[in-house]
Amino acid sequence: MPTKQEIEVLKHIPTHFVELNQLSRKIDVDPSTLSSLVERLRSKGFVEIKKRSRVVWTWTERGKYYISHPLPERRLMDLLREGPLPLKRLKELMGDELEPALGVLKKEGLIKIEKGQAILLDYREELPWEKDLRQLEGEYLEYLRKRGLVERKRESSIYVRKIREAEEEDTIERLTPQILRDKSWKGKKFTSYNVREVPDKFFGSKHPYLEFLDIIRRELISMGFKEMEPHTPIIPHFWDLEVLFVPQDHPSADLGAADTFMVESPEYLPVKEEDLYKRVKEEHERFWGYKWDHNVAKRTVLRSHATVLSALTLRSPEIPGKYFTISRVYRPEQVDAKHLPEFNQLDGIVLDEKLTFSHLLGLLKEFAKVFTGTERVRFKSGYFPFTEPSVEMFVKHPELGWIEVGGAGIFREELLRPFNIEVPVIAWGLGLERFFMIRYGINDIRHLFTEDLSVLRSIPKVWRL
Amino acid sequence: MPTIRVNREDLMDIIGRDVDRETLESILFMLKTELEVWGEEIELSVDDSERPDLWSSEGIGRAVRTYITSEHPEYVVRPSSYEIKNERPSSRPIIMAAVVKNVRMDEEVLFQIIQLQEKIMMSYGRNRKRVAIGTSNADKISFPLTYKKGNPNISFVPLGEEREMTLEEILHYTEKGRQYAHLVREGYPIILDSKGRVVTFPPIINSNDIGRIDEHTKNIFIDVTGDDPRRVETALNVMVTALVERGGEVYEVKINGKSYPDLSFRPFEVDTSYMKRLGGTEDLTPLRRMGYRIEGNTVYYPPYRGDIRSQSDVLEDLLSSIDYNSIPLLQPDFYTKGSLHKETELINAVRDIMSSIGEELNTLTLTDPELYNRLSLPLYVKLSNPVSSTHSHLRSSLLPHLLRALSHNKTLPYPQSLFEVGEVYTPHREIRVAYVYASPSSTYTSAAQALLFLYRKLGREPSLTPSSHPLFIEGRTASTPEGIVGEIHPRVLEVFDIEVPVAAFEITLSAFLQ
Repeated sequence: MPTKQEIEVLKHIPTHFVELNQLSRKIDVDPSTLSSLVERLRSKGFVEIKKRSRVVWTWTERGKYYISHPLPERRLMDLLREGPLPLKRLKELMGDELEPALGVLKKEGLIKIEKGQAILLDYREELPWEKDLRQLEGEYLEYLRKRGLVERKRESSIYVRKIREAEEEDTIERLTPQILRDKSWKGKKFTSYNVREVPDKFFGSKHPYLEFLDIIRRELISMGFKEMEPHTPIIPHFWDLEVLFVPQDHPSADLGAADTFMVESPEYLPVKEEDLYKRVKEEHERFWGYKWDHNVAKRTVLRSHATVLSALTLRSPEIPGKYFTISRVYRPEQVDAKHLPEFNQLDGIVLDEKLTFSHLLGLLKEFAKVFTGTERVRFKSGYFPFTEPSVEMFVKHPELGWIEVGGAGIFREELLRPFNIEVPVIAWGLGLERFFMIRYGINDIRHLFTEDLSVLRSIPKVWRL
Repeated sequence: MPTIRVNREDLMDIIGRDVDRETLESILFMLKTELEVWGEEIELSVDDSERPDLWSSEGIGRAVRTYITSEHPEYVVRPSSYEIKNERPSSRPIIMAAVVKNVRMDEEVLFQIIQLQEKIMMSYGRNRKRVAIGTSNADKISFPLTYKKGNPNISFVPLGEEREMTLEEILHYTEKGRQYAHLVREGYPIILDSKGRVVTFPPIINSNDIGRIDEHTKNIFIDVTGDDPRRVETALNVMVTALVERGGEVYEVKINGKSYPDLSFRPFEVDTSYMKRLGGTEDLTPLRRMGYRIEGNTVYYPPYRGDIRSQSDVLEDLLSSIDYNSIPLLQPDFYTKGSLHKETELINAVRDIMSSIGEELNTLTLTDPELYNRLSLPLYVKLSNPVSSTHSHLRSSLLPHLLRALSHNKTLPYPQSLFEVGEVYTPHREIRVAYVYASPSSTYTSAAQALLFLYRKLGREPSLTPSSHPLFIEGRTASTPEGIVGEIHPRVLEVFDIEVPVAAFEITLSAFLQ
């Protein structure tokens, strides 16, 4: 049975669809109350609801500022209207706004720069996007979005229409403990619900990408791999690269080359393993023939690859032994659909007296089988400063062709010697994000770390590879 | 990882036969090289930063030809009267040189020489610090030459310029000068010819008059300078042997009495038991496909290979010459017990419990200081070289991210119940779990009940003590030894534009590991 309040609202709902917020204004019931009343009417089968999402544009914080202030290019045009001005003077007047203003007006062909002077070629009373910015509509919204002034959001609207009039007969709408106790249900009918229409509700669930990592761990454990001791990513550069026999002057190790994030404070971290430190330094200077720089070795960085964990494990490994880690690693990358400044890497080592290169290739192929379900693999001779021989593995993807899935090799003896390890050590690493994305048809790496629930909810539970 | 461009027809000429794409690709795979673009022009990316011999048509062509035929050219160095006196200028004391005559020069060859020279200096030469290469027209230079520290006021017309400039001026006014000035702070090294003319000012620039080559130059003088004899010699031999592929004849240059280039094959004593143990074979003959000569257990590798240092380097060449793809595959046959780390086990247990009441998030650990500022929460780890300020610190708490997630999801229906288990840095690494419950009916109790549920499932009984915290409403906040629980203050909700009450907790899990 609808309640009195529900019946009252139902009277105002027409038999054609009407938008809920409009209805709310018309009958003067606040939107959230109306929304829950309508929801209840729907579950009782009196109304039908449909949801439509549409794109709405809003201002960003910067955009809001520029509704009440002139855009940089407007300011610049106004300043130049009386005649040319030197760039230096304009910089004083406009500060950070000068660069974008110059860019926009140059592109429009409205100014030119000559001998350090900006000259206005044509004054416009109104640039087309100025109106679009104010009114949040028009063809320049995308342009304004790229400039960070507006953003696009999806907003959903709810439409409702009446499908059944309220009944007055004596039926039971909702079972209550009272009805059950006093047995008043006997001899009565129950109102019918619209059993086809059920609103979404989301219950607890694990993150799909983390579930995928759980399965990777499960598979590795079944192959006898032991998870390595976790470690903070805040480490001296020594543990990121030097210990892996990457020379300090290697193009990819160069701190100035911006392949590694550096931590501001503390600027340097001690290496506790003094003897190891000394021996690594000696190997470097002997083999690579350069002078070791303590300030490079001790500079605080965020680990840039997961082989760091493998190296840390070499301090006291079980032999024979198999180890793996899934760790976050950090690289100075611009954020886009393919890059993030942090991501996960799967890395591992196998140590045993009897290991050969055939074992390394066999293991890689086994990974390909388990993780990608394909036996079609191809090996390429690779190069990593810390392994020799080195190999890269490609697997055949039905649509994408041969794709690289990981690299491996046998650790160089120059790397193992400072750790006093005398048995061969196989080292391998596999990319995880890309692999997950290909497997589940996700084309934006940001989705793996998203705060947007609708994205996460759209990925079904991951329970097998 | 150098990327090089070669002309297909030219490459096939050097290889000596037409090789189809598939065959070429599979051989290149054993030469650490991937075919990126296939057409009239081919683009290759060579993985190995220690193999400059592969960074030109000549080098790749020679390697592919040798891989197919197991035949490698002999090198002859002809005697000459070319001499250099090396006065060992302190900023780059080493010089080695050669003259190559009768090179079949054309535009493509010139392109390849310059490409090779640039790639070597950039990558193998550590941006000219360890190695710089000059190429000049040998016919225009009058020998003997002197390599010495030059007077800053000495002047010549640098390559590509029109007027004479002093060494000082070159460092100030030319692009290369500014770019590499830091390499000659200890003095300006120059090569002078017997008429006192500057041939080159390494590692900056050559002379425009005598230190330049073009598509008509047949006789080339190559000088390589630097501070590391191995790299300098490898670079010289790579350049010279590449020109031999173009019909060049090599002439020696005596430097302080010693003759260069030394193009003899270098001996290496192979430990066959090592090869057997790690590579499963003692047969060294396949190494001929990599240009080696074999005499019993002694192998001789070509003079342009500066990277053969250890048994493992020969092993890699041996396995590559067999082809990785035809090596039998084996599985490690010893037993080890697989296991998760106890920290992962705990994290998983917490995720199991929490996923019965909420949806799990996985957010970035790099965060935006603005977010923490607005909440008056501290951050402890700041990057010196962030790419953007939104990812410039390591997070110190999980709740700001869950609250931000709520604000992103305002258009979705309530209740929303979210959690995350992850690392925070204070500045020490901690594993935490945080939970938010957003609903019109959310109160302190909503989060406290979830907290109690979690503790009890973990076999603990928490003691809740009234507490205060910048995120929560005074009087609706409690702490346990491991963390905090409460109702989020409307002032905080306002920051995130959240229009529904939110209850939350965040606790650190370290204590549960004991």
